[in-house]
Amino acid sequence: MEYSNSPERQRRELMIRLACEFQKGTLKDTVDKLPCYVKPSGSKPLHCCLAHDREVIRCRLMALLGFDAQDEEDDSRFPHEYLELISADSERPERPLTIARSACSSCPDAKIEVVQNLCRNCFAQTCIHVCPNNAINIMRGKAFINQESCVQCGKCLIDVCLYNAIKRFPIPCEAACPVGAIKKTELGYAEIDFKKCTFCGKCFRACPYGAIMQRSELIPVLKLLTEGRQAVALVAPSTLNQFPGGREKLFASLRKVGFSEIIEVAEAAETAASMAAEEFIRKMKLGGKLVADSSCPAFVELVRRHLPAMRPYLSSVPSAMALAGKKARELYPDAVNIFIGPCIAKRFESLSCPGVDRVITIEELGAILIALGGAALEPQDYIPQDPDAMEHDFSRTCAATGAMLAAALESEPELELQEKFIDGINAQTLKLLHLFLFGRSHANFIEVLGCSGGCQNGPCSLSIPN
Amino acid sequence: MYFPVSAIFSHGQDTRTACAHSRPGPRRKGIAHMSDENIKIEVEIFCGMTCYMLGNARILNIGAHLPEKWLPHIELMVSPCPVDCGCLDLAKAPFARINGKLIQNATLESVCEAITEIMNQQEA
Repeated sequence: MEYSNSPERQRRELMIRLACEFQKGTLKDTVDKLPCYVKPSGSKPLHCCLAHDREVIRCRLMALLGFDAQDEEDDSRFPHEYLELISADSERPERPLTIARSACSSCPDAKIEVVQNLCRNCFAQTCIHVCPNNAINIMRGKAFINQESCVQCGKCLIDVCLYNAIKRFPIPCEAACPVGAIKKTELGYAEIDFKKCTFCGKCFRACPYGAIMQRSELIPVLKLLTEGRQAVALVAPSTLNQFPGGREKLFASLRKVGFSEIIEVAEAAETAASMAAEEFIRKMKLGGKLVADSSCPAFVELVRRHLPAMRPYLSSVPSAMALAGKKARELYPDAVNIFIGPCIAKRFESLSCPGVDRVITIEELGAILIALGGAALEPQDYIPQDPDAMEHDFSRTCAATGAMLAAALESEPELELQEKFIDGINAQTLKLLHLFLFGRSHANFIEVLGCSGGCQNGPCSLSIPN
Repeated sequence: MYFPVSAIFSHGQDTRTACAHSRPGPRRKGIAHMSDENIKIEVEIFCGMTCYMLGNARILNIGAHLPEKWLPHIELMVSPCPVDCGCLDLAKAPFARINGKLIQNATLESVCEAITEIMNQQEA
């Protein structure tokens, strides 16, 4: 189920405002005023007061301008001063995620607590009996958990209190991170440990205050497009069904806003899948026991940073984005190649892909289309579809590697494919991955997607297709 | 100018067709039976890029959030941004229209609430 999300709406509103003001040529004058436009006098404050809300928006603007709001060197800088530092060839941020400290609400420590209004001080007192550390007592007629004695085992949570009075209170970002890369500091703010982070974007989605932001490349891309530089759009398969009108309208919109060439990454995904199939057959013939697919960048980072024992099994095939970037570089050597997708981890992966110069998310593309007129098309903007384009429909709709592998193995009857598909990286699937390493699973090929439901459910997707 | 959902979204399910084929739920005691003739709710979701980005992409999945027995009475329409909706005022977007009444800052919850209110009035 998907529900409305206010931080997400505000983030997108800021993107649209930034892009529209840029297009009008007034961004330098208005960027400092944007917090007041978004939160005008008289509006209901979300935090303690409007001044705090506006400071939060200023930090969000910093991230949208591509700067690090987590380790701001000079707090007194205005957004226009940051804007002056940006050019079409600005350096790309090494860390795609940042935390707006003023937005972080310093959530209370994660704990198990009794909801006092629900506790009936029943005769059974099962919670007291099940606690292995005697942390639960009765005080003033209600159960009370002594946090110093509680070891967070959770035994009192499971079918113990029939009034559901005992609850676990998590820190949402910490609970969402499968690798423990985000923690509260002594000051109470959340902080990302970038040595552990896999850039999966789960904390970005989970924070109810929208404090975790990605460092955007919106302004450099807008500058590239409006300066008339040759730009190639590398369109991820998961982007195609995110906009109203489908593929044909999206491509016409991309051309209208200034992309001179469009390359579908689905085509490269097929190449990558067939390369993965060849590698699998070669390794199995040499007596290998396991191959792990390397198409998801969050999984690749997970293996590199947290599962060193799995490194030898990780496929060496480059990702579809890297292959598409390479092809674009060969075809259009002077062009700037811009990857478009719903993924944050791709931003990090692209830093090591020589064929990819910039990465924008689907949200950022939406803001660009609104600002540069790509959203409002005339009939003459449409370009007849390439009759061969439907060839890659399969790669557009699903993770292709497993299916490609099954097809490739038809010619290798002595090899048997035992594939395991892992849909979303979380604490449970992480344990499952350890089982593969200890040989307790019979799978010889694993395909892992960082986001449950696949790339189209990525952290920056606009809609969830049926 | 209205388009069925399927004409706009290549991936999307045509909610209007889905509604037409779903069966109404069983009658409940004390509640007047709703026939197709007497209740029709027109739910118009604006899918100009601004409204779509700011939340209307989610509202298109409204069928999953409503009781199944209401679906035959709901005509979901996707329309391009009308000139008079004030879409340039980002503070008020996204917009939806239910039985001709414009809803500003539309959310999945506010649209569901408006539909529920109409259905409850009809049932009373």
